[in-house]
Amino acid sequence: MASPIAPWRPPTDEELTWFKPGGQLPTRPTRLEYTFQVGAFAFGVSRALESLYFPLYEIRSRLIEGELYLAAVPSALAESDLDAQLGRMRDSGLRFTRGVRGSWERAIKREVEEYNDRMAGFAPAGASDHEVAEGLTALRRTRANQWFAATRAVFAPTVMLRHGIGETPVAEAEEVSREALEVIQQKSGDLLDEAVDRLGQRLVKNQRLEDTAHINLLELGEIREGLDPGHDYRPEILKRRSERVIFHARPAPEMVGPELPADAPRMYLLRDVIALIA
Amino acid sequence: MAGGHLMYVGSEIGIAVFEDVGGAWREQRKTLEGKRSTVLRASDDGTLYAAVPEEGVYASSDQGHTWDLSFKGDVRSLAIDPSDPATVYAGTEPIRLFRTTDAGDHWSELEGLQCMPESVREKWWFPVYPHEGHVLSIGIDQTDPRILYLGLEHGGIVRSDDSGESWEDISDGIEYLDIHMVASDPRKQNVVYAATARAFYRSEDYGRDWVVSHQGLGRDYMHDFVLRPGERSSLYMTTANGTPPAWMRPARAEAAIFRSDDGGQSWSQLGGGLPSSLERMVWAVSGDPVDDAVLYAGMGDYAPSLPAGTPIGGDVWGSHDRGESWTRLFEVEGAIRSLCVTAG
Repeated sequence: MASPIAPWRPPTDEELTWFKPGGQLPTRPTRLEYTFQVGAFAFGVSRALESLYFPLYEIRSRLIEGELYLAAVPSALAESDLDAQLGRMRDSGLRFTRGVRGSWERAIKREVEEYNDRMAGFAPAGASDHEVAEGLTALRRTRANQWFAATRAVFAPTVMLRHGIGETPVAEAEEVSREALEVIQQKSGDLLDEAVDRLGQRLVKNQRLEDTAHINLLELGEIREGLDPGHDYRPEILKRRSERVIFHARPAPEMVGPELPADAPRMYLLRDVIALIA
Repeated sequence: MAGGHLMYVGSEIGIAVFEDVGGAWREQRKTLEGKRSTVLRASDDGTLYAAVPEEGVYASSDQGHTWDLSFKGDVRSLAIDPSDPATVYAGTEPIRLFRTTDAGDHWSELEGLQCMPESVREKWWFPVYPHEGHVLSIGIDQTDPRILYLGLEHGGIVRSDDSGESWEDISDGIEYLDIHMVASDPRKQNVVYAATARAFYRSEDYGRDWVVSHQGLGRDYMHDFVLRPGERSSLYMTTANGTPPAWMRPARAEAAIFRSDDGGQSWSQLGGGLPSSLERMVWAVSGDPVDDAVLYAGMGDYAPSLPAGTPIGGDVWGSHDRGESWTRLFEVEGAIRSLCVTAG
């Protein structure tokens, strides 16, 4: 292997090929959905796939004309010796594909449910604005960890097993995947919606929003930074409500960016994983 | 090997103290039994420090006969200021840094680390529950001890030029931010080395830009390294093939030790009696306090890769000729995680 002489830099958005994820991820996420739920999804799934030696650097998200796109960012390390990378993927797959149900029931399900408890406990009535602001960052990390834990132990191993990598019968892994998805997409999704709703109600009560649903027009960072100083979000919301109409008026293509070969290493099994969980 | 030395071997079950008696290492005693000792450091004033995760820093001033819990916390790294043996840094999980300037009597937090921007802090994470990153390595510049480097697992590398008051993220160029060790070259202050879970990197501008260096490296998982001065200054690094989950395969860790004689630009695998692929991980490598040509390597089983009920053990290997030839010195109970050798 020859050593590169220049420091590695991740490609810019313009260098990547963007695709629509489909499935249950929002097609046109609100600002809050994009910076919160989509951000947590991309972080958690990226960390899971890289830890399993999928040959990519990360999954990146982007809004183009208001629509959600994902891209696989290539990994220079993985592509410098792809055979070795895939060998390590098979080796690390031994641990995660061996007994998917056991792993889910012994540890991961409990972890995911603990995160559900944290979501349910977010922004209680008695909490200060400072505590809620701190909790908001933690809540996104909690959601990311939920995606990480289940993707590494259940979803990605299921896809790997479908492609002959690993030891558990694939039918068992698929059954566990369905159970895990039900918890993470449905139950946890509902709990997150309720947590956001509680935050919206809090801001309405404090006369910082007109309507609970308007919280979706704010980014997570804006909410967090404005919470403690008692920021009034209403003027910004007024502006953004008119912007949103423009967003919805424009269509967007299926793929954006340079053409990517079907066998590009960064895409290895990725569409299958996204199709399973997104 | 040098006579009269003491070797402290930290494992998952405590510390075993070995004494060099006429060239043969004999176990003298066990100490800190039941404590998982992942880092051992000896200061020039004779104080021995042991990091025990989830407990804290233990300090001993009588060669490990008695210990005081000097600092409570989930400590994962320790470093002693080369210009002042009473100044010691301790890195924890979650990522925080503490310092004592009186050999462990008092500790205070260097709170500037928590003032880093959210965009940096959101990278601090770890794959194992509860998914909190930790400070796994503290590198202190030998020429200017105000310059500190922290290796974050996971989170990248941060540097302080003012003894830890303020910090800068210097992770650009590193792909996978699982940093196991970071240290600057004692002879060339601008050259900094980083061992990560996916590659070895070097920087020639104080860590501002990192370039991967894998010429001759037949492994991708870098763990510990030691810089040895002398006529031919060298780097010795412990490695494996893949991260621990991959060690479930029959060949386990496929560990190996590599040496670089050109400041980390190229590497050669060390053999001379050392198997080319070790089942146990080489968790620690240590130089000798007197003889620059002498090296010690501590190996330990990775328990999850072994069938249930298999005894967990470790062994220490030694080389007297810069790693050209190796001898298995002794076996211990428990997986070795740290080594520290002091002159007798």
